[in-house]
Amino acid sequence: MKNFSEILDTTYNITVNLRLEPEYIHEPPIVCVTWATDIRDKMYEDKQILMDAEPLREPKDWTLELPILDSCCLRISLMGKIDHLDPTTGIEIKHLTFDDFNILPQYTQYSTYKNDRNYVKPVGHLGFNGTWEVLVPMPFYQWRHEITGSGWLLYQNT
Amino acid sequence: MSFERTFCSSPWYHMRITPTGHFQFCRNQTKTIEKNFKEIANSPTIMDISPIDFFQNTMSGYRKKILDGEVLDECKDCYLQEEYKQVSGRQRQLLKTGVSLNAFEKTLVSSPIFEKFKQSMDKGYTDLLPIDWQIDLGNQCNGRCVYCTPYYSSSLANEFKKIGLIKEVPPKAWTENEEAVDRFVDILKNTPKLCYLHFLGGETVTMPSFKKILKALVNTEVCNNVSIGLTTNLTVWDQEVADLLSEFKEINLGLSIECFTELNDYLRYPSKINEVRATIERWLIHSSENKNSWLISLRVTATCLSILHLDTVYEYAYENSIGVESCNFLTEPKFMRISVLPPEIRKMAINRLSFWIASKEIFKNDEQIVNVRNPGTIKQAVLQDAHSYLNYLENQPDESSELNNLIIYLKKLEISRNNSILDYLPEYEKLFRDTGYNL
Repeated sequence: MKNFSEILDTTYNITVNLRLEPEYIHEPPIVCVTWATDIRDKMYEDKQILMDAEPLREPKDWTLELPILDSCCLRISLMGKIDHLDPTTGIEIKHLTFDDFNILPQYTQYSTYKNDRNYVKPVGHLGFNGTWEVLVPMPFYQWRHEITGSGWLLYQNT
Repeated sequence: MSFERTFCSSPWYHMRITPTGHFQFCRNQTKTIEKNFKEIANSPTIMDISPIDFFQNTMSGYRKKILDGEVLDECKDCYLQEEYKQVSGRQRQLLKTGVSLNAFEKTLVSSPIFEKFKQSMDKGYTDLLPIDWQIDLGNQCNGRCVYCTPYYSSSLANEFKKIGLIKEVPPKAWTENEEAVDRFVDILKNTPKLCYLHFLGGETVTMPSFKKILKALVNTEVCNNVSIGLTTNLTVWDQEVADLLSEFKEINLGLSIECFTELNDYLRYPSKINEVRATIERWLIHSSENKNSWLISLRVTATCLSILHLDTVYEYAYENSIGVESCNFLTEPKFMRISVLPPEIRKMAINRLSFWIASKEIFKNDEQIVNVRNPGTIKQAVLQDAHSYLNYLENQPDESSELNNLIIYLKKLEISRNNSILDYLPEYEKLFRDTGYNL
């Protein structure tokens, strides 16, 4: 257990774990995954490309480090799916955790999924061409406080 | 104790004014009222210095000690609550600044006021203002609860004086000084980001100063942004107060009750349980008819006399989806502590609570709910509170040597009131008679 001075001397990061699993019979899904941090003013130029329009043939895991006070945005896109060739093709977001906190399925409503079928319900599965996104617009632990109904957060945004 | 077990963010945004107008650094700090009412002694009053001066400067010592990881005697009630897994005042106050014990270091550095903690490292000073207040208005009260003190009830003070338990009644409430109230209201109006005002009495609803402060804040920007908290003894209804409360952003209403049996009449003398129940229902209806947000909870002060019937409070709360809250495990008067009960009565209380918990609990949730006012988890929070009393009953060391003092005290009150605890609590007859209680 650290005292206050030791806490001040420590650099804290949040470990983000993502696992995607493909679903297909003939054609594996073509997937693009990007990760951006410190996205104040909604600038995404400095995004990190984790997967660049490649076929996802096997389950794939990523481990990312998020500086404790940074905002972040994760985007997962399914591309080039042709329904009549393989209607089963899709991506399952098996898990997305920030430290021990699992976003899915309990907090799926904090994600968005823009797709070519205009299917708008919150999901953890991509079955249509489009982009799934989770945006954490403030330090993660402040965001967690909000989405878990933890009550007032005094002096936020000051 | 580790830093994580002692750190509290409350002194960076909260303070309290006592019934006599003294300032204190926390609503949860261990009550230090002595029998001659002189205590709190070294603390300045609103007549002496500005609350802002007290908050920013006088409270520096507490902030410094907290940052240095010291164990504070004033915080021992919170430490005790945490020992038995009851959500402590410290945990609730930490949560308001985003700090939780299940990821302490990371939530601490993520707190919106982390830079302000750093600012206080040297001498404890802060440039913040108190935005969360506990305002004790005075002791004007029509109730004479058996565990209460003259400091919080004028009726009890008069009774105590009559039967020789005290020589002098407590000093006047600070709110009887109009100038002090006006000055205080001005400070509230001029506090940016003022968030929460929790009022205590006496009986808050009947206190003229309560109405005066509410009226002064209604129709100002304050009322749109501030939450009001209050606790009422459920013996009175004042439509004007109810309507004034509806003007504020949010209301946290505490309804004081010990149990839903006639034992409550004895404990919260001279209230009558049927009238109390009707007043609860009136508040529930009033809150549902208003547009502002109302969070209602039953407030208990569990004692050795009420613990056997505490399950009736949980049952009502659970069925009506409202919370149950207690400020702490009662420590004063010592002879009213639950731990005064000998093993055979404790066993009875444990069985009743266990039976009630088993009747509701499908699975035990090990993750502690700190925001006990979250409507989405209210039933789990009620179960959690019941578990904390079960833990306490099972583990708190025996203090049954205090039983004699309890009997002496009750007999004095009963002569004045012409009643008998055994008419309400026959389960204690053998115990009390063996300890010298005779009709």
